[in-house]
Amino acid sequence: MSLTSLGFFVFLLVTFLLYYICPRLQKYTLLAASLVFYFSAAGTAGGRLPILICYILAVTYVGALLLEKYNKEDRKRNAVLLISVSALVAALFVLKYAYNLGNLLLSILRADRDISWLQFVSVMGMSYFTLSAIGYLFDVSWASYKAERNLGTVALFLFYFPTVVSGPVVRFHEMREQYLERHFPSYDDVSLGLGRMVWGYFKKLVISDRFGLVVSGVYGNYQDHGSLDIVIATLCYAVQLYTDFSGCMDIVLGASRLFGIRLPENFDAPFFSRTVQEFWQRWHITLGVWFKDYVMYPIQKSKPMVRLGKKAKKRLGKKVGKKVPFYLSMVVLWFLIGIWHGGTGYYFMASAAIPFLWLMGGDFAQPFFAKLRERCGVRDGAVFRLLQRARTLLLICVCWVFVCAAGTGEGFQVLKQILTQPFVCRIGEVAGVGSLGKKTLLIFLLTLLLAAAEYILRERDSSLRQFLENRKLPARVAFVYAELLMILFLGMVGSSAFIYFQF
Amino acid sequence: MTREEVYERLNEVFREVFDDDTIVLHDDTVADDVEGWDSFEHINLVVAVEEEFSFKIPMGKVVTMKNVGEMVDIILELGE
Repeated sequence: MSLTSLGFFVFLLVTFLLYYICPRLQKYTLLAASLVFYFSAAGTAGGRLPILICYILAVTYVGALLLEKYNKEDRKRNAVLLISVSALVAALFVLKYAYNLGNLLLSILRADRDISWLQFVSVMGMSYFTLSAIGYLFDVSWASYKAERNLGTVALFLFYFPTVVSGPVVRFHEMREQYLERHFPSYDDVSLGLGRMVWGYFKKLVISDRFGLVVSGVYGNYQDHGSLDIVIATLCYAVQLYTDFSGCMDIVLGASRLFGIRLPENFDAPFFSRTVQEFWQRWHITLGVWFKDYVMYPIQKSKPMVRLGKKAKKRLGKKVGKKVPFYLSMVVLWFLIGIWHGGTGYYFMASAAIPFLWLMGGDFAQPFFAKLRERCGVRDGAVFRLLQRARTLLLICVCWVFVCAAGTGEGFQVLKQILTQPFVCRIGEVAGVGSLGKKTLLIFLLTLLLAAAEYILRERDSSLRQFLENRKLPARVAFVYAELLMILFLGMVGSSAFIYFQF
Repeated sequence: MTREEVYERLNEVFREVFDDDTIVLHDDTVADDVEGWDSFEHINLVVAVEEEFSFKIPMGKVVTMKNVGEMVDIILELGE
């Protein structure tokens, strides 16, 4: 059952009706619906799912109860945390990353071995709910809140159906009360939830898939294309990926809102970021916050790192020395983010190695650029902000070249192509621009208009969604109808899955 | 330790960590109000606060404190 299938709408409607008809059983209705959704969406991995679900649930539930049993100073508490988190990571590693990482290692070592026995059928949403489970165990171990006694509540927290497709990564204390309190159908929840879902489908079916045509058209035979074609195609991929992933989030956040349950936001207009660092704070927010809270902070605050920081300050001075633990924790953090994205070589480049390089480079170069700006007397005006945002977008696009090229070697080849073929331009020949001309151009123009409107509103501390939600009812209804009509006539219905589904 | 005493010492810690002698903290001061208070400096700040007040702030509190007021509450709670 995909989010864009008719089956999903029937499922959502039935769940919605049962949820509000039996208010006493709301938690169990959601739990049963989540399991139904999960099994029907899991595809070929369905056979093993009950075992995996029971395993993850048992480790999380029992692990948290045991953690609470021991005193903070008791070493057994750390042992329980280590064992339970390792048990979750091991399952994730074996089922999701072992095969890709094995291949990556073999290619680095230039060895030829058959490791097909490491290839398991991918389990939907595993890398999202495993992170939620690990976060829960850490929180209980830090005594941020008590371990949950009710198994059903823990199960719902882990497998709540809107979150198992592509996140967001949720935190137990943000969700518990929402799962337990009784919800009544409210006009706001239903209208905003449905509106958000339609907006998500519009982004995915009308914009994302259409931009995807240009990406596959150019990257399908990038050897024949020049700098401009590849730059345009990569910018199209930026739009495709953002509208795909954020569209998926709009759908799941909207669907959850129908049940009165608010999930955390995963995006905050990332393409309007002025620096690469800011971009990663506004893109896939819940994943970034998870890695910050459960990986970066604990590493930086660990005794060896604090000691190292003090020594480095003495030797290198305060300014440089205090950054040593930060850089080391960033190496670990981006390495893990690279693995989380599947562990293939090119995803490692795109999601870890290059972002890390940009962030570190930016950190080193920042004082130099600040001085240069001061000397040149550049004001922090609208043009300067626009240039900073364009620079950030281009730097991020360099990362995505490797994803579009679907290979590390190919990615470097594409970068070389960009630098050496400035005069070749064949974008007009690409299917979706040339042959499908009018529709595609119309959607490109519409996307540009929407992006411009969003940009202007963001400059005024608002957003397109906020602007639309504040309109009167007729205007809101007209906008939703316009979106639905465009989905029907311009949308590429039933064509592809969501990109982040693979993680 | 009174709230005022905590603020006095905390102001000094912030000025030292962020190299800014003009910092004056309030209950509702947040990261956006202090130049350089990002996710990296947050841990440097926490470590400096721990050294100043001679106790460890639990990780659970480190990741959830939202403003200076909450930080002061934690210091008062742990300092008792």
